Amino acid sequence: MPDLRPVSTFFRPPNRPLTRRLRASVITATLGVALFTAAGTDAFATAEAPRLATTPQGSIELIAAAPVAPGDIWLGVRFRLEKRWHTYWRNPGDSGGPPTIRWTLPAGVSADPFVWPAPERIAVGPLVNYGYHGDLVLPVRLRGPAAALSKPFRIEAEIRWLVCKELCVPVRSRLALDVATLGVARTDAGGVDARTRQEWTRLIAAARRAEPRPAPTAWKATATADREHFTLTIQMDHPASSAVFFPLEESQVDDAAEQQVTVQGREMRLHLKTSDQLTAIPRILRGVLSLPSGEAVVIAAPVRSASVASTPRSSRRPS
Amino acid sequence: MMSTFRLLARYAVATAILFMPLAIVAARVGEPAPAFSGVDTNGVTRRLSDLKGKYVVLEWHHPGCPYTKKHYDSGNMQKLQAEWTAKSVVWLTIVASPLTSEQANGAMRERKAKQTATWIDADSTLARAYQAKTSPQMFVIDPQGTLIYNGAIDDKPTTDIADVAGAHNYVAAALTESMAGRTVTTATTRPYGCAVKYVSAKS
Repeated sequence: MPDLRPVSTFFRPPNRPLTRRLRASVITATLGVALFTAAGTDAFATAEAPRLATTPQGSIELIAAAPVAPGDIWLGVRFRLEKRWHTYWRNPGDSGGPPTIRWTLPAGVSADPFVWPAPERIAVGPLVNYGYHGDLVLPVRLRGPAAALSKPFRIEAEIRWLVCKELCVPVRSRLALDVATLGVARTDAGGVDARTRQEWTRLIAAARRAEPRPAPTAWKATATADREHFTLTIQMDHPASSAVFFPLEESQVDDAAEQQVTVQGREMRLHLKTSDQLTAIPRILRGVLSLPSGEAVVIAAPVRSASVASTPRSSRRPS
Repeated sequence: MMSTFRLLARYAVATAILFMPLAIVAARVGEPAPAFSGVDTNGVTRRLSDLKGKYVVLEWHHPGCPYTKKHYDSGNMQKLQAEWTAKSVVWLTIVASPLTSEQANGAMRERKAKQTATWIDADSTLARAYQAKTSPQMFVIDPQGTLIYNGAIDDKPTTDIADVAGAHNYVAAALTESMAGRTVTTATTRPYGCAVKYVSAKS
């Protein structure tokens, strides 16, 4: 029997009679594997995948930028989430998971990983996730021989993404896009008009600009670690009043713990609690440092163990 | 939906399970597992101290969570439960949502689950004691009462049923190694799943 549970009955006790379950005007079909999808998100039933899919939690869309040079193709996955719903950064934090994508591309063409803008800290009870609310564009660069990229072609993508508020909905969206590579003026490009195409170009450019940049060479980042804390020290080329650190790797930093930041001139020091799941102190602590100015900088701090051997463990634990 | 939720919350309060006060410490592998004592959904008192001499598995559970559904709809969780309870492992499913005992039992029955017992962590006491983060999150306690595994059920942090087949199951691996007298190779992993809903502590 297919699972007909609409998304909104997430908290419904599973033993309620089927007759009382909401019969969705929108069918949430189960594909035999009980991966329920939200209204209209699933395009598997139709041969032609759409460019845009809408769910009660928000929409997802494939977009493409007008190339600045032949063969320089940037696509984007554009999310427009309903109020209070969020999806996840590459490191999702305490729970959840990032969007993943599987492309179907012309022979010889490949897609780079997503470009991830700096996320926000999202508190879920006492836990913290890293993710995004509202509008989000994840740019992707296509690579391949110029010959393959210089003529119009069609791409398809299967995107699995988790969207959460108090509850989580896994969505599988299959989208397609006709990528025309000859410029903005083509009205048939991707089946959209020139104005839309300009909007897409602008959105993708903005998302690429929002990508955390590598730390300037003048910056210096180092870290010390013991079993309980990382102390991350960053010498910057300008002062900043505070910062938030987003660890690129899971299971290093305690996501939910408050980050204590102290600033002295151009030096910033962040006190980060280690994760319960940290099994070995990493050689390099990598993350994105998000500053009040909106700047986001990728930090890679070599880690020095702070006297792990010399301090008895019992003395460092709260009594 | 709000009214359903309130109704459920009221049921949960009516059948509230009271835990004895606990010394709250982080659940760290290699250290004694945090003590617990409570009444399961069949009215049986379960104390960790009574389970000395047995392996204990704690499975954090939210029936509607897509990550939990992946392991139940595929039959993976039931298979694990059947396999290890047959080897005298005590498998406790900790429900982290406001269900009544009847609802929780009904949900587990519907899924043909093979756990030893279910209980409802109505006030998040156990979640706090173990610092449980996700549904599912798994803990394995050895017969001496030492926590020997804390983390994900397996190495495929997705909601996709197709990923069950090729996954490395950390719980089975920890039990197998420990029962063979070996050290657990992977004792701590990042748990994956839906965030455990914490209910504010009543003080």
